[in-house]
Amino acid sequence: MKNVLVNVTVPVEVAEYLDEKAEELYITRATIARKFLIEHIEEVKVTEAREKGFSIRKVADMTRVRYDKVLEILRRTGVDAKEEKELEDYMDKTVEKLKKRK
Amino acid sequence: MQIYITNTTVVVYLIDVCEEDILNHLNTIEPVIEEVRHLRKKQVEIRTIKMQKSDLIEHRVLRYLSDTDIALLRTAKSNDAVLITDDKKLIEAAKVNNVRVIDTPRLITVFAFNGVLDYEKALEILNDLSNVYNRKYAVEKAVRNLKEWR
Repeated sequence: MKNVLVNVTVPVEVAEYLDEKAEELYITRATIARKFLIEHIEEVKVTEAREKGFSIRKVADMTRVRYDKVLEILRRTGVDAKEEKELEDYMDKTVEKLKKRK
Repeated sequence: MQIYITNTTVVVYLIDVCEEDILNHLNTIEPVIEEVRHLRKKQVEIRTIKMQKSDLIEHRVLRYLSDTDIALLRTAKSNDAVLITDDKKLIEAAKVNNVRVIDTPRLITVFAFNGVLDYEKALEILNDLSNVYNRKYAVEKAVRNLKEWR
């Protein structure tokens, strides 16, 4: 992965929070800021792609976020939380058919 | 005997809740095994099924799937198998193609109904799954169904 330097100005309160977190984890302010920024961007990319209707694997391919990380982001953000009755009913019918088969 | 073909989501969830034994009852295609090997840095014991090229119904949903998703769908259709996936888009595509499909929580309940898993074990797995699953309502529904059946 190629890296590019980005300079940002943040409010004092944000810098203080970053310093607090950095101290807890024994890393630098820049490292924790980078971690938060990348995590947030990944989350936005994944949720946007998912909301457009792409499959989990397709979202992973498009955003270059690991498949299992996509799953974790979907769980954490609740993007998949809306129940789709037609799909649920279809799966329930399959369950009923499978129950009868021995 | 019923053939179950599983997507990566199912394998990852079962590994994460330490229930890999269930994979003995499932099949999958090579790209899924490669994906899991890459994600979990381990070789999982699961039967490989040869990818098939059954025709799929032309529908806009296919545009939202990856090549591996489509390979899974084709293979399930060719084998008259049940596709196991937790991806709503793949579930939708299965429905469009009249491929039987269930998700991981429903798989656990079916295995309980059919005696592959005992009731207590199935409940335990569903409770563990609720901590990691991407659609919590689906796990809650599966728990309710299992308790009603009991």
